[in-house]
Amino acid sequence: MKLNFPFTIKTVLFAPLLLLATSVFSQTYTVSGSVKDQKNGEDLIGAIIAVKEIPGKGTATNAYGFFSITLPQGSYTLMFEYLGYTTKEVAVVLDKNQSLNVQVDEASETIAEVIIEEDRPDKNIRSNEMGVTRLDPKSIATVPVLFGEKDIIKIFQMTPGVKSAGEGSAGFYVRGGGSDQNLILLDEAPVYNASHLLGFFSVFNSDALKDVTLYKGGMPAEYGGRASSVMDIKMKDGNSKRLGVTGGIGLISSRLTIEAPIVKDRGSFIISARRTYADVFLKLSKKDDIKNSSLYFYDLNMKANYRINDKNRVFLSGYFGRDNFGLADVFGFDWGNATGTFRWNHIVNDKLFSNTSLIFSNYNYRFNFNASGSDVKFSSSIQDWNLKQDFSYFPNPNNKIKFGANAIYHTFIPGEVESDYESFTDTKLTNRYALEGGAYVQNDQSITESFGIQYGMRYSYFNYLGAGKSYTFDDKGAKTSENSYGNWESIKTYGGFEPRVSAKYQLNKESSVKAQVNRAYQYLHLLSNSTTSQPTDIWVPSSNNVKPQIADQVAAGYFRNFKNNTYEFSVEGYYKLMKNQIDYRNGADLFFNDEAEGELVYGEGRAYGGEFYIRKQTGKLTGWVSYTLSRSLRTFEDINEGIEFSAKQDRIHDFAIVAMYELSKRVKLSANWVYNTGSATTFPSGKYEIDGKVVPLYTERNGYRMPANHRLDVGVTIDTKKTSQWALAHPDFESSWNISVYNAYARENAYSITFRQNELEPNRTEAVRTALFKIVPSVTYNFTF
Amino acid sequence: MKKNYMQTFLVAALVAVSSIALNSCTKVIEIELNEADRQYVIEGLVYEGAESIEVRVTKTTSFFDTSGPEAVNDAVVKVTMPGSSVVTLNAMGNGYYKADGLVITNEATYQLQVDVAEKTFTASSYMPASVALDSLEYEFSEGIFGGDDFYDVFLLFEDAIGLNYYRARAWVNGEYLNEPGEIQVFDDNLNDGNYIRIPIWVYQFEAGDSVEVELQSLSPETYEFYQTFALVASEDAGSPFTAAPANPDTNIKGGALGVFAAIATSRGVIEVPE
Repeated sequence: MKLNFPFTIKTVLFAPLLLLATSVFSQTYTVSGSVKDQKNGEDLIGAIIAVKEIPGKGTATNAYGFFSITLPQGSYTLMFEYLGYTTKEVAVVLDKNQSLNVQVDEASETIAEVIIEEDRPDKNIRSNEMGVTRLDPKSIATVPVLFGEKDIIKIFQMTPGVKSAGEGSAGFYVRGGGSDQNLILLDEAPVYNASHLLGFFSVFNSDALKDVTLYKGGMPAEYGGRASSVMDIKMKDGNSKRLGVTGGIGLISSRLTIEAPIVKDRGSFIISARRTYADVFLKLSKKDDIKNSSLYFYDLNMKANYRINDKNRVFLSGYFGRDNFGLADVFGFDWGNATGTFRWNHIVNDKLFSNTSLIFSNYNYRFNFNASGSDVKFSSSIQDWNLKQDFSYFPNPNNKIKFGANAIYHTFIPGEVESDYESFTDTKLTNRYALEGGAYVQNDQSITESFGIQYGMRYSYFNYLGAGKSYTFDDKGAKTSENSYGNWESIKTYGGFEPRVSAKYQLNKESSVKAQVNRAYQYLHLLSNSTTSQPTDIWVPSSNNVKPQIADQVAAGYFRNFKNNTYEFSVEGYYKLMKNQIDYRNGADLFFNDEAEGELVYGEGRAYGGEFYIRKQTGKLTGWVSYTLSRSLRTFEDINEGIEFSAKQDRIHDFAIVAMYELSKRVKLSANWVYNTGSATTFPSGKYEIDGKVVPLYTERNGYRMPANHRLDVGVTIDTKKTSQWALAHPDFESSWNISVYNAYARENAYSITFRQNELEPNRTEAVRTALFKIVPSVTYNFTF
Repeated sequence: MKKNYMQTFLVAALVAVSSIALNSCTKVIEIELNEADRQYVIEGLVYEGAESIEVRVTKTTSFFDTSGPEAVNDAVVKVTMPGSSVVTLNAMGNGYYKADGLVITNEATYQLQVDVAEKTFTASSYMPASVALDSLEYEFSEGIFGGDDFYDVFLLFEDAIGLNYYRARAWVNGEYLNEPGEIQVFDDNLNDGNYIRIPIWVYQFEAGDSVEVELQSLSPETYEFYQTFALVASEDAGSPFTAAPANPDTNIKGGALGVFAAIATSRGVIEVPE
């Protein structure tokens, strides 16, 4: 099958012309500044700034809480709106350019009722974007989850278009793409392996997070590097008003966050730590090898920011996390990510905002075992240095322009193995190097009051560099030639234009239609010869053999709000083509193999679906209902005789309800129910005997389905009463108990189905289902002061 | 060989994690499977130093069938020996075909032809030089994850220069280790030309065991078959820790499953003391 897409460079070059289509005012002035939370000084991202006198005109704060709006000379009332906050009105007399720093206060319950009645946000209708899901970690704090560990990725898995990679897994698939096609950014730094403990937990500690946005399709041009989605996670800046402490004690882990001003209202820091303690119980064992074992992970998030003056501000953020498994002196296995970001915000002038970032990211794993007195040590890593420059330009209220460029230097250390074993030669796989660059320009433009378009173009470039080796393989994967390259010598280059366009037409005050087309390139690939994510999965660069993955997507949607924006409803449909997808030869050995590229086969994929979403964000009852109807298919010449087959994540129906109900001021109930079609899987369609063993006969790839999954989770959060003397004396101290039950009706969802010979009757074969979690209750105590 | 340790470790870790949940559960379930078309299966083994060659021809059955493999007794099975002489094997019943009184040497190519029901299947296999097993050693090992203590048995041999492919088979007190997951194949990618000391990692031996070990030298195609065969013969096949399962890579042409393998061997025996 030939998969072609009607993208040419010409068709998108029209975009910049639209910029000129705005009316020209005689004399204009600019108000710029920031919007912050009054209580803790956190910058508010995406706060709306509306002009009361000119309905439909307005802007929003960027990722650093900065805004700029340019209007004709006159007197205006600016309204600063943010969901869950009291809208603040500020009168300005515009006869010169001016700066304005606004602080808004979190709405108290009673005021919220009144204010929100007047003006509920309708961003989902008005914005030019689509295919975007945004979650504020605070708003989903009471959702019941496995082991009581608040995990933002698990919550996203219950939104439309996002599928979990398996029961309890932090891996996810977006709109039929692979789990390695999601760009997960933590303060701009890519996180290469976002899983702890074989995937049951994500590396993101919700206490340290401010805002998480998932772009499922219409990735703005500022993002690049992955084919399916971008999950942009922003850490909190830290309380710039006073010392704040938040913590929690849970069943398997505890958390503590400390934030405080460095200089009040000028700078602040936050340190947030989490550690599991399952291994504490191991110490209770009488057996030495169990006692001396380790089984834990930890996360450490740190961030500091400082405002040097009105025009300059710097941020430093870092993340360190590690999993550690060890068994006495027999095995040791640890892995983790480290990221660091240094950012410099500079306000060039009222209309031009600049951010410069230097970003570091590293993922590595180490593995050692001791067999009969000899040690074998193994290690592998991937490391990035990224320099990035972004500008936001606000020429007038109808256009928000962003442009910038970045360059990443990747270092891949696929593996080194050392041993004092006599019969062992220390070996090192060839390191790999690559340079990845991108430049983009985009504009978010209101053309008329009801018609808006966000259009951008990204050019990305990839250079696979020496020192290193390149190989060629025959069509059976056997090496045919080998070439060596010197330092910085280019082995293979790729590049391409990535157009990103989405348009909105607002039908009326309550509804709009949107459409988008976009293309994304992916130059790094994750090799994983198993159906679940493992710490040992390896990232490889595009090379002379491995071509960049390309995803082209078209999508359209209808957005409608009901009851004065109390209910948001949307339906989106998409069709996606994926080129240069990767799969593996039978019995592929990817581990410690310099010539692993010979084990790869290449094909194409397509995915399509419809996503339905109803969300209620205010009132006593909040939550959402999500339904996704979708397919994800692959075609590989070397697999399944070239016939198109279902990708593992080809689950046709995905349904989720997430509900949170405020029973009283102190008691909040929550529940979610999920249902999905089972993953596509390969089961035998016969059997035979070789070497006296019964062997399953396979006929087609992923021709079967696992049983459907469904599950109910329930939870209750109770704020502790403030009656004691101590509590009254410490009014800032608040605490709560969260009790939750995962899989409340003990559904035995199949984690795996395998086949075996019956022990007593060798001729009898049987299917065995493993279910991981039946009822899992958990209790967490949370506090803040 | 490290991969195998790692896999074991990951699975052990998973077990540890799910025992935190205290309620992971495994159940035999009823499941409906499709009925694939019956296919021919050929297993032909030529061992260095043996005086006979045995080939078995069977057909696949439906997965939950309990009557065992369907024997094919009406095939014509021929083996072309290194000197181009053609030997016709006699049907012995239950799908077995055999020829006796042969001289089987290494560093030579053997060819198979099976004709049945107007179908012809052919295969060719090169028997490499044998690598001599120098000695065997045992070593005490403490049980891991609370398991029982056990003994490791090590193979010691001088690896030949160049890529070599091996399979280790063992018999414990006369019983062939033939459970799924007891297939041990390895290459010398990381220790080419060295003096190799490698354990039988698929089995934990006990005090008092009498262990017979066979070190097989395989051609690349035979190795490829046993490597991919080990993946599907394992009870882990289809679990999330493995790749999507597929039939083993066969060297038989004409559309049959199975393998025709010429294998050079070297044997040794060791007693683990009481």
